[in-house]
Amino acid sequence: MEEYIVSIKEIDWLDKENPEAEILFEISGKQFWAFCHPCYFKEGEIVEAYFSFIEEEVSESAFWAENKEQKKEVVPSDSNRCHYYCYGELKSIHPVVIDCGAIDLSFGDWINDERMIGSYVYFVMARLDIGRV
Amino acid sequence: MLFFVANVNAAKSDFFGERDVVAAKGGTQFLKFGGDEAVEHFGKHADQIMKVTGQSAYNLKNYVNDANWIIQNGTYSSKLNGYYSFMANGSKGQSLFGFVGMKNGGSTISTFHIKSAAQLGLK
Repeated sequence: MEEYIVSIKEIDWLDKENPEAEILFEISGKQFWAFCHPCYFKEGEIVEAYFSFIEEEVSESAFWAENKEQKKEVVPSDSNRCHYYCYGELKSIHPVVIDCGAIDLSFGDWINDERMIGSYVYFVMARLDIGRV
Repeated sequence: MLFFVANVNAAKSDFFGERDVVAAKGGTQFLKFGGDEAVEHFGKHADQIMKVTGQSAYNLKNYVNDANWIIQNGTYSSKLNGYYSFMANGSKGQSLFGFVGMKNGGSTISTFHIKSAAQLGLK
């Protein structure tokens, strides 16, 4: 799992005893919200973090064909700040890692054809998660 | 092992009329969220649970009932202080679990949301 240096900007606590929160963080000059449980961050700190996500179903055809503009971008949904539309380049397949610009996201191990490396793809994160290294 | 703990939040959280006692895993009693916290967590997580389980309708009662089912039938994680149970596989092979976090010494539900196998430390 790739590790990143992030700046914790804001913590919106859902629960502090079994610590659960939504976190606003900054990476590469861009700010994102992510879900965090268990959450051991403090506002204002700069820390090593890792990312994971819960996938939302997209069709196979959308995954391979939707990123025609060859973008590397993570676009937040209007209705849910931890939900993102993701555009990126397939960097590796074992595991599947997608370069989405500010963040590389690891996406299991479900592609066997190495010729697909370098393809531009589209997927949806139902929830981006952040954790402290 | 069965033991009972007084539910200090009974007045606020007794939205289903269950008994004012709760029990740890192994009992048959119904555990609740603290205060009004169920509503907030339902608002945050219900949509995702519906998508993972393929349900077209889902309400607060379903949410708390499902959390109790996981407590009764799931696996305990001491690292996360909660119970988890497999729910479904995502289209790209991601194994998705329902996770119910606990607090107040295991007498109160703190959360119910989806986690992946990796997030649970299972792979």
